[in-house]
Amino acid sequence: MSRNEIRLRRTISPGQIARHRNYNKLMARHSRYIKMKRSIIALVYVLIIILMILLYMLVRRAEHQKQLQKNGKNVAWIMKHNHDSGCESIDNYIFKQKKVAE
Amino acid sequence: MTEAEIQHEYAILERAKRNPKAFGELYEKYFDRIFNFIYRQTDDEELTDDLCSQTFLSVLKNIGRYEFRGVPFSAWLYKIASNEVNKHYRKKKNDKVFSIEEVRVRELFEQANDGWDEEMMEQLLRYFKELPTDMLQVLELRFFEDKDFKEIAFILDITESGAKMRTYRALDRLRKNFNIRIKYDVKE
Repeated sequence: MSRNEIRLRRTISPGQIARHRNYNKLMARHSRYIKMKRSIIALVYVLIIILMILLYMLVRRAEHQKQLQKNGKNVAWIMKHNHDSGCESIDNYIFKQKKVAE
Repeated sequence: MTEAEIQHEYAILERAKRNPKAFGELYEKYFDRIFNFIYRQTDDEELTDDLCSQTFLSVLKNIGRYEFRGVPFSAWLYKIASNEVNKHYRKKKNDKVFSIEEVRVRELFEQANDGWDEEMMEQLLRYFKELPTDMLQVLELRFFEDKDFKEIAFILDITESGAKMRTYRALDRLRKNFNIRIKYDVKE
C-alpha cells in the first residue's frame, strides 16, 4: 500500500514564488555556513595539537619513570652485590676516611 | 537544452566554485522551477520555501564537487531537491503529498475538454493514489517537469531503462483503467 496523498491545486503564480526568492538571504546563510565550517576546522586542529602535546608529555613522563625504576634497580643491585661479597658500602668507606683524617 | 546552454551553465559553475556570488544567475534561472517541483510534493508554501532554500544552500556547499556527467546542471539541482524532500518526509514520517494541477493533468491526455467531468478527475486522483511512490516520481518528472529519461534516471538514481519501464507501466495501467489516449507516444 502506497503512502501518498494526492491533492488537486491551482497553479502557484510567479508573483507568489517571487516573494520567496532572495539570493542575498541565501548568500548570508552560505557565509554563516562557511564561517562555522572554518571555526570547526580550526577547533579540530587546535584539539589535535593539544592531544599531541598531551601524548608527548605522557610518553616523556612514562620514559622518565622507567628510567628512575631502572636506576633504582641498579643501586639496589650494587648494594646487594657489595653486601654479599663483603665489600663495604661507599658511605662506610667515606665515614672511615673522615675518621682517619681526624 | 542546447549544447551551448549546457556549456554556458558549466562556465558559470566553474566561476561559482571560486566565487559563490557568480551562482546568482543560475539561482534566478532555476528558482521558480525548483520551487514548483518542491511545492508539488509538499503543498505547503512555507515548507517549500524552507526546502527550496535548503536545496540551493546544499548546491552552494557542494558546488566544488560538481562534475559534468552528461546531463544538464538542472538535473543535479532536481536531484538535490528530491533528496531534500525525501529527507523531510523521512524525518517527519508523514505521508508523501503529491499536489497536481488540474490543468497539467488534462494536458497529459489527448482528451477533448467536454469529455472531462468531476467524476473522471476523482477517479484519476484515486488511481494516482494507488500508484507506488517511485512511479509517481517518474510521472511527475516526465510530464510535469518535462525531463528526458536520462535526466530522470540521474535524478532518481536509477537506470534509464528502469525509468522508461516505470513510466510505461504506469501509463499502460492508466490507459487500461480509463480507456483514454495519452500523449507519451510523441515524448521520446
